[in-house]
Amino acid sequence: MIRSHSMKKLSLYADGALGKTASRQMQQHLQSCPSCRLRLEEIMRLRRALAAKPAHALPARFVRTVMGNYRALQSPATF
Amino acid sequence: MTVEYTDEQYDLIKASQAGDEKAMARLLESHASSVYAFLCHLSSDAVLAEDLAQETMLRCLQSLKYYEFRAPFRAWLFRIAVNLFRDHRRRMSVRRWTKSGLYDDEQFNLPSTDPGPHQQAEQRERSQELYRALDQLSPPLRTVVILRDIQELSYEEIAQSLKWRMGTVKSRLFRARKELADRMRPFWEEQK
Ligand SMILES: [Zn+2]
Repeated sequence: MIRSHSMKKLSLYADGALGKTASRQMQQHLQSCPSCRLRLEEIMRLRRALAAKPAHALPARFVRTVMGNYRALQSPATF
Repeated sequence: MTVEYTDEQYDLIKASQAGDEKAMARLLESHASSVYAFLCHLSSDAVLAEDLAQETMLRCLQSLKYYEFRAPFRAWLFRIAVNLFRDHRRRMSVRRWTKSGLYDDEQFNLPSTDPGPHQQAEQRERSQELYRALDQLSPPLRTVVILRDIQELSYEEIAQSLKWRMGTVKSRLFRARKELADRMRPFWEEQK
């Protein structure tokens, strides 16, 4: 039985990273604890918002540039 | 720890290690986007992120022969990126790092879930607020939350990327989320 409201455990629970027993206990605790339910909701909300954070597309020619730099460094210096 | 690979991934890494340039290019193709995106999120600076991503991938190729399949390849790669970012930060002034408000709407095209224009504006504002909050986390907290919630690495991969103990990953991730939630709560309540 989880007596205290642990945001750290909620954070693990949100990731599915609590052990089986602890996760079952958390489920039970959540049924009777509105404040932990709210906190969990917040974590899930953050996770959704962060997962949706837009990312830049990889600049064109990125891989070609790296390969070019790599080759330049591999070949013996020619002066 | 043993890491599982699909045959395709394994062959690609092996061929790259053997010096096959086509394989190297394909290996880069399959990881460059996520490394670049990670560095963008971490630095909030697309130009810097491109430089660091280039350097990360170059070092990846140069030290590929030392990769022994002990850590997941992605964790190994992100570790190079994190180290390069740290080095860069050390070279720069602290002021530059803590500077916020580096996001501009032009650069970051927000996803359209197609609500009305007014709702869209509100949603954008909240997103911007979240990104600002993310920007203001301390570097370790920001890094762990980006790796987990944006790049979706496993706890294990994060521990390997950052060379942190598992307990440290868990507690810092929790602290990062708590700080973000504390920052965002007023905005969330406003819209109720
Ligand atoms: Zn509770």
